[in-house]
Amino acid sequence: MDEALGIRAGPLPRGVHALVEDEIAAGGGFVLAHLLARALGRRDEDPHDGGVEEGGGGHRRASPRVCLVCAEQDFAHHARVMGKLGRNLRADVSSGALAVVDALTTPFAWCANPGRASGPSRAKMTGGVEAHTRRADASGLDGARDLFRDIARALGGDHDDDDDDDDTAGAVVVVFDSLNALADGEPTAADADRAVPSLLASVSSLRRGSTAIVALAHRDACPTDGRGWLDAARRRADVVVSCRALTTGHAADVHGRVSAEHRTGRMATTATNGSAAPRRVDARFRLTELGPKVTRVHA
Amino acid sequence: ARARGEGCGRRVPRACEDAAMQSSFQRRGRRLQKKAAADVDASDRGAGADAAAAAAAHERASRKPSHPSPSPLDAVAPRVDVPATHVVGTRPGLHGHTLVSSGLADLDNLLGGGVPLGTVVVLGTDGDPSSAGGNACTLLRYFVAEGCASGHAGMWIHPGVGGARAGSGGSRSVARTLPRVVVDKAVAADDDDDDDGSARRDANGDDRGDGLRIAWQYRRYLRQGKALDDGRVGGARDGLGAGLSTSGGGGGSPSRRNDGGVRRLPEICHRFDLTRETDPAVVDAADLTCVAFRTPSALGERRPRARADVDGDYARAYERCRAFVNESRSPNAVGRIAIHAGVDTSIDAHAARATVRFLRAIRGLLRGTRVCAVCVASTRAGVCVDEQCQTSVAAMTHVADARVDVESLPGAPCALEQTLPDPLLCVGLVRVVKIAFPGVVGASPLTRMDRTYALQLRRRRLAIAPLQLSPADARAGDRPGATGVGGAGGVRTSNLASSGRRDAGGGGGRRDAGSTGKKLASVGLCGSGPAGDPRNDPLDF
Repeated sequence: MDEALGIRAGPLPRGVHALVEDEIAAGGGFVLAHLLARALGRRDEDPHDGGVEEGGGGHRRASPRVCLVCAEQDFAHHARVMGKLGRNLRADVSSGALAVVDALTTPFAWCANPGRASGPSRAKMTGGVEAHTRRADASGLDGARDLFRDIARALGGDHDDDDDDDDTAGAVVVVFDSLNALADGEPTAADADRAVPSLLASVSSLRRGSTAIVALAHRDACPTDGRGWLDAARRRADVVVSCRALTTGHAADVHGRVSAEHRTGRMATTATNGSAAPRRVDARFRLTELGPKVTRVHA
Repeated sequence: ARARGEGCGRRVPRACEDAAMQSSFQRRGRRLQKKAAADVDASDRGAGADAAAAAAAHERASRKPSHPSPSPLDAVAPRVDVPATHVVGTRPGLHGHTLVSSGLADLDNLLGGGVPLGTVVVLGTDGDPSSAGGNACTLLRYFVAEGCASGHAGMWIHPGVGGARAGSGGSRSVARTLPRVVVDKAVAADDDDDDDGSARRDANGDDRGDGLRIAWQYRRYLRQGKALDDGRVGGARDGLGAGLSTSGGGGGSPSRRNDGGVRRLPEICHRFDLTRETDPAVVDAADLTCVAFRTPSALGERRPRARADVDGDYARAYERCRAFVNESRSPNAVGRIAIHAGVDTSIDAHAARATVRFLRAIRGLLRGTRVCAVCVASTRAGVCVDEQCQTSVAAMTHVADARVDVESLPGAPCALEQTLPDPLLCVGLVRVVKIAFPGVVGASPLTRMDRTYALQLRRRRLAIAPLQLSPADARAGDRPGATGVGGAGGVRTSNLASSGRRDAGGGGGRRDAGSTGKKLASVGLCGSGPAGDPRNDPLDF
């Protein structure tokens, strides 16, 4: 898939932003899974990887390398999907390479306060509501702020990592399985347009701005007025991978189109003949139970 | 006895030394006696082994389980003790799912066998969302009735008045709208022959006449032939979800072989009679709670609903759902939540957004539990000028694990009518928009997306039948990239959509279907061959 989309192989560069857009007829979960696998990297390449804890020997990492924010699917789903791609997420969690933040089962503020209008007051929560329950306040950022705290806590704080300043070295990566889930949790669309970009900016500032972000967004569920949070995420992204359905309907060998728009070139491969890498790369994909088949479309 | 050196009392006779004097009967008799003796010895040993195994099992059960040291995996994926015993009304599915029936076998086939526990299925309707008489609401009643018949705990959130247990007070009128479960095999058999039986009755004037004239073995062959023609969808009589045992239950029966020797999955779908109300005794005995979405005082209001009111209604509904899910039950208990809020999301942007948030909260609530939910939501597009309403339909689809639209037939004459199977029976269209249950990435291999089926009302039940194309049209669609039609058989919505109608969840262009004439080919659904394979066309010689 990297070759077909013109994406540079290897670990994700530090501070890079990758946005995956999809729609109902062409889901982009397979791209997210691929980037998550790349972020986790090969276990034998990590000198700090202590192996599975239950298997004995080795030790856990001091801080995880990847943080998976489960906002639309639970961890079991991701573990099963990645298992089909040959990646054991449960072992990664056990070894400390992967941290998981559960944003799926978070109850919403309006559930604990039925019929209560938004306001700055913080009502007492009932029913065992978790600490990161989103609360409707005047700024509309309280929920995103709490989620950011959870992500920072999962990554082990904001301590510096001065081992390697090389831009191509492995970076801490935060993977959002759905930005729409975060946006839908806000009381109004205006709150979502403020909360999601603020959250992305805050997360990218972790580790002195070296945190990479991989996020999935559903394009057809967002307004296209140019002022929404999706547009802000696009402007921030270094590469935008878009999955679209075929315009002519289903086909037996092709399930959809996927294109990669390299906006900054940080994740683009360099051409063999020394020329500039193409800004936009188109490909076709076909999904199978064992993974996608991506074929580049040459103009 | 074995300790004493005795057997079970039988002794193998000494073989005759003169082999030439032995007859075939004597040799056969000695073989049988030896075999019987060997079986008895094996049973003795087995009895001893069974006793030892039972004792070991009892010792393990009485021993307290040792809890392993906590690992970081427990926080994100806690260990769940999966009950080993079979739960009535469930059957295993792909990707580790446990499936329950939706109440309609054809709908189960569309969903790949049933509704997985821990998921949310949305039934989209293009009619009035507050109306309880639409086809989508009928399918929802099937879902609730199936839960009552299978002994599952149920919660039904309806837009009307009520709030007590089903069968008491104001909820009795709501629960009475459930279809009655069919326990009479004769009635079930009548439903199987409803297509041909009606014609015979007209000819003979006796609805039991064919049973006397056709010998039993020929009746069986007739049914098998009809099953082959109908495929899996619309012909669920002999396949999955067909039939009832004499005990009247459809769930929990072990897999058994059909006439062809193929082992089938357990049948979990009951038969229901839409023409009769459910038995009040069944409702009283069922663990069903009917909850009104709106408060009784709000039902009589004519003013537009305020935002806080809508949020309050959804908050109350969510709290009821959470209490239902967290209610302590046995480990094998299965729960069903049927939601019909009656909120029109096509004209109110805030209500649309609140509906999406509610569905997302329900989805997070049900993940990893033994409860599933089916929700009726409005998927009308093009009515609201606010873009928020238009994107909310797509957002709802992304939130749901599956979405099946139940649409009305187009009023104006169009090419669609020529593809309807038995047009006089068709009452609507069923379109599968999305199936993405947990553990699956991309399109499910069981069901092809964006296919339209005919919803038929057959005397006492609903049925879902595939639309029909001529072999020429079907083969034209087999070619990859063919305009509008892809895969073997089936009809894409884009072919039959009226001009200018486009759904945010659908894809593809539009092509007017040509003249197809009467039935010439029908294609199966679940279990059918790969798309584009002409060998799977039953009429392709």
